[in-house]
Amino acid sequence: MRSIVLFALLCGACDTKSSSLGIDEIPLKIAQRCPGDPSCPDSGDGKLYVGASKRKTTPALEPFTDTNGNGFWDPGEAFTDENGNGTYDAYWLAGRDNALLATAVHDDLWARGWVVRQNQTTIAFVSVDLIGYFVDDVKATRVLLDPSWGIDLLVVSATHDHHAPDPIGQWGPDDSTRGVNDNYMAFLHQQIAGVVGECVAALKPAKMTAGSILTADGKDLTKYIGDGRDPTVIDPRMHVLQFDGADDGKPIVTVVNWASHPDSLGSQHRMVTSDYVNYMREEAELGTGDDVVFVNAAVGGQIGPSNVVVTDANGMTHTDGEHAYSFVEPWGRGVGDFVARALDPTQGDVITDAAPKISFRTTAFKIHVDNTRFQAAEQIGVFSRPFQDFDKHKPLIGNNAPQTDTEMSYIQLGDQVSLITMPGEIHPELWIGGYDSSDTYNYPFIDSTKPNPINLAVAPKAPYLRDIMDGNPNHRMVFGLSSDFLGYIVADCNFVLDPSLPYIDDAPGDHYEETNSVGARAQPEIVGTARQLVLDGRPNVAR
Amino acid sequence: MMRNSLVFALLAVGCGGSSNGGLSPVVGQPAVFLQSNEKDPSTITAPNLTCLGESSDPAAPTAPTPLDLTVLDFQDSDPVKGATVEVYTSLDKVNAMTPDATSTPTDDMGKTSLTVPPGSYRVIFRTYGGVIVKVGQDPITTLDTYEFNRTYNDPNRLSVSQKTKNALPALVNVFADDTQGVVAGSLHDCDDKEVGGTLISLKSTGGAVDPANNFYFNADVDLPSREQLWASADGLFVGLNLPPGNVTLDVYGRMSANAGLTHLGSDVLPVRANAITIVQVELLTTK
Repeated sequence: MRSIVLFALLCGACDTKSSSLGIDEIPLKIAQRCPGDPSCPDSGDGKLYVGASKRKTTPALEPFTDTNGNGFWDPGEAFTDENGNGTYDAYWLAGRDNALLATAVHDDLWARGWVVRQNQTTIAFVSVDLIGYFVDDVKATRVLLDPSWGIDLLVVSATHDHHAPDPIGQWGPDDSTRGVNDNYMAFLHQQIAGVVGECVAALKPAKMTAGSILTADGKDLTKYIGDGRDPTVIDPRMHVLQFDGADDGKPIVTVVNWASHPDSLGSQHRMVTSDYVNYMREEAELGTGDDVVFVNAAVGGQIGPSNVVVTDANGMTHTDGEHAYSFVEPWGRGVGDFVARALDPTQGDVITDAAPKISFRTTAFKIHVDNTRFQAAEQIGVFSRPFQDFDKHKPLIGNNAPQTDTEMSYIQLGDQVSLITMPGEIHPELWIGGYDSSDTYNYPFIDSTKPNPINLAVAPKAPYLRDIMDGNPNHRMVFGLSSDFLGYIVADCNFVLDPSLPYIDDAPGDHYEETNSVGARAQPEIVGTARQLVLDGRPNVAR
Repeated sequence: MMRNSLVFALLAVGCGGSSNGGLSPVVGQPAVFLQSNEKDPSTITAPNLTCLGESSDPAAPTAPTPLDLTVLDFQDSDPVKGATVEVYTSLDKVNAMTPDATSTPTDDMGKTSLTVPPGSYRVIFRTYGGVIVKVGQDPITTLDTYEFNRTYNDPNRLSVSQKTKNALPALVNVFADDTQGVVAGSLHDCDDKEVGGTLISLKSTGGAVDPANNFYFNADVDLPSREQLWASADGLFVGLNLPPGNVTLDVYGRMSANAGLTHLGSDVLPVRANAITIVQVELLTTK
């Protein structure tokens, strides 16, 4: 592994020219460029090598006898000490309410990875069934990578699973108690690093096929996706990357990138599960012949199961409101069915590239945390990531709001396929636009009866992030919730806080996401950085 | 963007004239009020201020008073275990750290007892050293908690956890400085009800006090709010990051809409580093 830190230092003076920065945008500093940096040459056979692996990350729940029937383990109640540490280990489910103690496992959780190498450039991707994965955990995982593996970049993505152990802290037994099981996090670090090592060991010459397809029935998304927040903007395109052995044609791994919240089981459900992702992967794997790695996309603004109606194998219809597997399974399988269709040239947009040129550039930067709840969570130890660069004697607002480290990467897999990592839940309108109501499909654009609607007059103008990326427009991806978890990334033209209790109460209308965002500056600081990272000094035009 | 309005709100808290402790009425500040239901404006009534300028306390006890105490967490009302309670009959004794009575540590249910000496109707309780035990969690540490101006026979003690002390400032974008102290409380009327619509002024013998660190609670959610510019229905105020020392607290309010500020209450309180002082401010006994 090359030294990312060293390159960050060396590049301290190599700011990209940024004369067109918007308000609150951060001048770009490239931390790593590969190939291109002195320590990342580009000599060799030029072949693409790919390896894949997966490991279970299911927590070892400790069954207990709930003598008093309160749903929680209490001192004195018998329990199975699975890890032999002499104490009961709680696993709190993340994503919905506090105090959701995991009591059983419905299906296994996974860390699924793939590594691509070409000459001296090696990128490792691992997707984990979790709500999110802080950049500090990514860094802790990188420390465990054996330098001999030659990993230049590790990207860890979370599927945004809402029924997996809390890796963040805010879903503990109450809102002021950290919900992370630190033993589990150490286990995760090891498993993810282990997956990377196994991927490297499995590297073999490969070819790439990229397919994409809209998960829709014409203009009807009813069976697949809804949008729980105005304005309705949905990107229903599923991207599929399939890597097969260059020599033997045997499948190596299939990567699926699609946007939807794995959050259809409600707050009463206490079982560990990867939600629809489990069934989507299973269904897809029936056709791929290899393991499927799922990476979520632009899920912000409640892209998910709301308003979705599915039909099961017996012809019964089910809705998200059931909060049951009777909905989750047919939903996931229905989505999984698109994986094969995306790779079918008669249905999907398919390209093949026997030796795609791989490259990436990465930026590490600091963003402001304006959210008072997040500030409180850090001050009382609910979050473990450091907030920094503020004067503690002044109000933690404006330019004195605490800052926290994060990172993004722009990766190209040949001249047709590109992807950008996004450290949170980006709202689709910041990815594809859609302010002209062109991406509503069969849903209404805006419910005019709701207060505080979006101010379309000041909505961002094209080109949007996807527009300026490289390659075929149907093969540009956002890897959401990747290498950090900074909450929702809301368009600032639609960012409204409750006037009395900002970040604590939702403002009237569709404005829940603001309470779980770093603040209104997420758009300029994160999306603005993404834009600069993609452009890398080039004109801000669609391509 | 909202940031600008936050800044203006902050400035509004601190901008005042030179009279009334440097305070002037805030735009929109109502006359002092009571509100029995914080969500229902129809329950707003006028406070009973008929005792303003007169002593309204009953006579002090003339004999020692055995007192069974219960110590509960300020935030969640969980029992506080292992806490010691001290009684002081004057601020001087607090400063000298010479309590008039000291309890044994509280049991698992937060219970203990002591005997309050005669001679003072109002006393200062200090509670320290306890922990809050919650299922499946590490014990939560508590801070030195001073309760100022309590009636001598009040059996209910409060203890504030380090978490609460740090979280409340963060919710108003203030960094909790553990070298500084906190004052929280409310003004009570002649019927011992919390008075809304008030403003506070704080001065410390320990150094300069930043008025921008004075906040008022939003009664709907029982949390301090940067947008709440005067005491709401629960009457609660908080002064954050106060220099340790003796802090003079003055409470002001409008007696009628559009009136100037009237001085309604005053106390001199002990403030200690990484501790919290909770005060029940009584109406002034002299105008």
